[in-house]
Amino acid sequence: MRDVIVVGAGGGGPVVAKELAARGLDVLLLEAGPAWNDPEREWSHNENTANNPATGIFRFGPGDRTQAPWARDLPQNCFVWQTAGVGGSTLHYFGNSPRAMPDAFPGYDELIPYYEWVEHTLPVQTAAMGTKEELFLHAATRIGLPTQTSKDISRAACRPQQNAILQPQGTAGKTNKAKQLVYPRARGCTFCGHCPQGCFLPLKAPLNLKAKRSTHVSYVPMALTADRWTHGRAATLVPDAFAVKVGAAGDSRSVTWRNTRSGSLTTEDAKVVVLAAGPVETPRLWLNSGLPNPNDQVGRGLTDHYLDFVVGRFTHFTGSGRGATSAARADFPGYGCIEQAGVAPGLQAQGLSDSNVPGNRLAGARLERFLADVDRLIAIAVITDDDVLPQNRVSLSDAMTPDAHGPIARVELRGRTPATLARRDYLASRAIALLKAAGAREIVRMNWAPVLLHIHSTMRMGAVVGSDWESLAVERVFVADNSALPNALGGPNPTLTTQAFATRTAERIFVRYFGGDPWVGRESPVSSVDDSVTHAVVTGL
Amino acid sequence: MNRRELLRRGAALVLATRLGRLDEAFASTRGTLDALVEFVVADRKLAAATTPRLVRTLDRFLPGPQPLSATAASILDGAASQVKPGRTFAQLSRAQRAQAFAKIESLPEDAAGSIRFLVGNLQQLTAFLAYSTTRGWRLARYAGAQHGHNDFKGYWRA
Repeated sequence: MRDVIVVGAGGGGPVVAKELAARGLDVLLLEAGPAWNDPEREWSHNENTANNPATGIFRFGPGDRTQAPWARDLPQNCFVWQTAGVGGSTLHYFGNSPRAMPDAFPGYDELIPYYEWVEHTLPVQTAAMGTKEELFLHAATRIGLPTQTSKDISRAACRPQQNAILQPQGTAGKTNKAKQLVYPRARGCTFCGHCPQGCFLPLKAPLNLKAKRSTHVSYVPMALTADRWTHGRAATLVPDAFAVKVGAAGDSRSVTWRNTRSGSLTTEDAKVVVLAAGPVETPRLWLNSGLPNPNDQVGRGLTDHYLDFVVGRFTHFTGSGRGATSAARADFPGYGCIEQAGVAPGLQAQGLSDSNVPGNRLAGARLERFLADVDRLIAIAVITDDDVLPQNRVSLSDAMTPDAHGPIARVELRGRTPATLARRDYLASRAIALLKAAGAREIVRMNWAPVLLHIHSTMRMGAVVGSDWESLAVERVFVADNSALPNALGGPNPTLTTQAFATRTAERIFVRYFGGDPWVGRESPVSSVDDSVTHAVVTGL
Repeated sequence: MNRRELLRRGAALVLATRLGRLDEAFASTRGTLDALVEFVVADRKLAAATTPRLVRTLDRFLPGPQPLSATAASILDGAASQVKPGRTFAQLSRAQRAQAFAKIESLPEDAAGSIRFLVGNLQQLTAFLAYSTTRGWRLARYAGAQHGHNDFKGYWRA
């Protein structure tokens, strides 16, 4: 019997796996998607190769890309952007790692040591500035926003992002010449502008020294080498393993998974199971497993920041396609956030062609004119603090045929509160004001249909799990992904907060079920870029 | 019933009741999708290269005996016949094509959710596929895939 089985190697699961492997527990980490053993060879900066939702490397589907992606029942105009594979959606994320709004949930102060632990481990660093960041922040200053200098958000203010991206060193950020951008001459972010296409740079860098700190290069390598960089026990990773059932009988817990390449089923027992398959698949797995749902709250209360997109066109160079995709932001307590989002032309065109308002999409000559020079744009993502509503939910589809993993997830977005809509409009107005102050010649607000990029609160704290993210209905079963967040966090991007909670969850598991002592606040964390980890990764993976 | 079948039946049911005749809806998938791509992509060479990519992507997204591209085309043609009876989407003017989209985008999601999902993604998927090509990048004056840029300015000071 394993000590712990973690289902899902995305943003949250590997945090639990690494922390508990470092304590010497026997940890099995399952991932439905592929392992990605050689990103420099397997990944691509080509947008279509990377991000095509049907065939792309970073899609929600099996590692064998000759197979179709996995289906969801999506009964509304929306786009779900999730990635299967070790690293999960941190493979395509922008690395933005802000803390939550301090009043978003009770107990924020108690979470700060866990934030600090994760910020050191990833690590999270202040974003380097390029042309687009300078334009954004100067304009933010002009519309009256002060600069936030602490990690804790205290007022409406702008700031460089706190990003899980290594700062540029050596030749990084200082040259376009590929031959000069090889590790160790280049270290950290090379300003390639391809965060959504994964990050395999600098070339030749050890896996744990790649610039963007997806869990694929940070927590997972640490989990798999916990016997080398510390006195732990190396976790076991099984990719291509889609969990189909969680068992809970007496004190015994088990997980059954299907190998997506062979179709074979495997079951293992564990003392504790941690669900981290993401806010769509975790409630699906729960419901498909027939686990208790006494208050009918599993899957309910989905929040998604009701993202919007505001883009300005300029007559001068903005460097929109260069550098970290999002390195500057402004936070508005009570409303949410806005952040710059500079992407390559394919994703930029996609964003300019999306709207929930008939006739509002850019198309044809207007799209071509607006996109005539991608490096003369500044795009801003609006990230709204949206309210929890029970009708926005994940359930099991009764309209579509189950797939090989059981009934599929139905994701419904059936309403927004007037307060959510008002917050979104306010934030969009601030984005427009900022772009005007920056000198934009033309500005468009897209009024996006729901883009499910930040998905949260479908197994939410207080309704489905307790404050330590253990199920209220089944002990020894925990959740460690965005689904356990209590709400939309006031607007900030969710990954860091989930990782902080996941660290605390790991600690609670160790104390409650394995008789150990807590460590956060008592010990010093080891950074995933520490020489000891590099040595472990180079010699052990 | 799988998702493809749901979409096919949903398209038939909802469009039959809300948009009317479907007997003209099964016109040439290729011609209809060409018209969709032309609506989104102004550059003729880029548009010509995009339609096959769109068909491939749709059909890979949901493989089956009735390709998703054909379902998408039938929905667009069904809407077109409501804008201009007897016409397919390809036979509409640009303004009329916009009207056809508006008709579909005004369908209630509780009754036509899967159609709203499919059609809601058609334009943005087309735009993505077009502007993620070398020619699309050139039109956007994008420097192209590079391993780095010389744009590091230092760190922000308030």
